[in-house]
Amino acid sequence: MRSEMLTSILSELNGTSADIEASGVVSTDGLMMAALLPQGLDEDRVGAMSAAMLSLGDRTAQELARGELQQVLVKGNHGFVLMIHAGKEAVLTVLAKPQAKLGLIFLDAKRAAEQIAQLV
Amino acid sequence: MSEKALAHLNEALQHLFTLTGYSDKDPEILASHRETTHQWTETIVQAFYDTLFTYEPTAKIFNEGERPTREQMLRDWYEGLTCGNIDQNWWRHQWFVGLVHVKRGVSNLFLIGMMSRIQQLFLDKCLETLPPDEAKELFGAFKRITDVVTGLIADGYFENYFIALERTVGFKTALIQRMLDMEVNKMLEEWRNTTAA
Repeated sequence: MRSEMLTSILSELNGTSADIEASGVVSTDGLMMAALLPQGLDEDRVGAMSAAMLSLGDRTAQELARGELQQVLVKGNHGFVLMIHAGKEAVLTVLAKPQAKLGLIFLDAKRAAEQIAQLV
Repeated sequence: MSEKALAHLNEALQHLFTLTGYSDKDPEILASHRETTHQWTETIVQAFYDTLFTYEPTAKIFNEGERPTREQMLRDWYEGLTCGNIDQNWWRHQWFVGLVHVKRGVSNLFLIGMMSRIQQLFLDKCLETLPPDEAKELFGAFKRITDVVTGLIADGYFENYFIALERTVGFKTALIQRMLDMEVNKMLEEWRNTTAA
């Protein structure tokens, strides 16, 4: 039931912009809770990497006195990976195309993360 | 020591005690022979460090002039163990030796090799000195205790790696374990494909 509700939130998120290619909700120990990913992406690995990146981002922000972590952004030749907290126990990961308007992606992801935080 | 680490240590001890067959009688057996086993201290300590200092990979772990200090630590450890003064604090100390080993570059390969060496030296002495049944009983007790020690130090080595990772980069142990499990499955598949070819 909760998994379906999470998938519904992700589905809505993916639908807000043609530039969002995929998204997933991962626990902080790397377990995928819900995902809408393209074929060929290993859910387990995406889950583990997302959790690892956000954990590292948290620690880096603290150690380097940047305050509380807001997001981690990875920029590649073929697009972006955005990771943000969705409550204390979950991470929202969003994959976006290289031409994506990041401001809108951040906003939509933040809203989705707040909804997810209510559920987990 | 954190609650989590203490719980882990207690679980490790339970596994090792059960699987080695260790019992509370083992320290008593050692204690009852301590006058004899303390006569073997220098032979064991010298052979131990002669081995380490004549093998280049282990010799380079030590600093200039460090040998006398190391010998004294081993003497103290051996005589403490063979007195049978073994309690929860003593086991906890053995587990923390793993952390020291991480810092000093003493791999689990070196640990296992040298514990085997100590056990062999002790066995030789038991067989030279005591009647067969008594030698078997004494060596059995010594081997079970030192095997638990080996397990604790090796476990402490890895566990403290994970703890250090969690503390520095924030990776939860469960996350690291998950990543390891995924990668190990891949590596096993690669190995199987290589051996099948």
